Amino acid sequence: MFLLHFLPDWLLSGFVNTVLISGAVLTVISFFTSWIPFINQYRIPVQVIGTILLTCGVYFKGGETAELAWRERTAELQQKIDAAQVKSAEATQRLDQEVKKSKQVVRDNTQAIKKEIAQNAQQLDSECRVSDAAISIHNEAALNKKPKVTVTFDGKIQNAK
Amino acid sequence: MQNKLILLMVILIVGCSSVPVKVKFPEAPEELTKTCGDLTLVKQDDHQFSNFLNVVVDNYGVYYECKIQADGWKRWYDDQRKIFNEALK
Repeated sequence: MFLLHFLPDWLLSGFVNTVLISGAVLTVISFFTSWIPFINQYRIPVQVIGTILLTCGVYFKGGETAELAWRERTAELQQKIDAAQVKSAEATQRLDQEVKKSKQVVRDNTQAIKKEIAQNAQQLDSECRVSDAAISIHNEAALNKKPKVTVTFDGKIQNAK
Repeated sequence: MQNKLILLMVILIVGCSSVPVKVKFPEAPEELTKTCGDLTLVKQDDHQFSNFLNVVVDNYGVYYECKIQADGWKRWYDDQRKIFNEALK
């Protein structure tokens, strides 16, 4: 129960045990000390109070056992989750580093290829000139647009319908 | 009247139960939270093949970086699922 969570284990157990033990003691006293005249006059009220306390004590003991068992399970689960969160953070950190490294490799390779293009630029440019249609098609593909131009087999450029 | 209301609230709240276990949603790797870059366009009046090739190479680079991110997300999800499933077994 909600409010029980605010009580520490020792307070809960202390209260329950006090009620249970005092109930048991009062009940025993009321039943087995009837031969003492002074006590005998209070026998009935003590018996009633003792029985009520004993009944409440047994009921509370059951509740306390269940509550403590839940607390134990909760603590165990929290421990597992904390361990998982540490593992999770480590895995995340590791992956972050790997992704960073992989991206750097891609960037380095891109730069190396561009360097090679720069070295061979004169030859590449002298052998090939990129047509307007090729540039348009490339840009349309890069923008993922529907093509505006089509190139026929004989090299003519037509606007798409 | 006010005291009775407080007492009633206390009695009602006794029946409530809270979740005592705290779980924090795991943080994603910072590198994966970046967005993919846009593809570069070729200038319409630039007919040099070397420049065209440079743009193509740049765009391939963008694709590969984005692929690393997409694969990274998948791996992150698989790893996290495995860790939490093993913990809560």
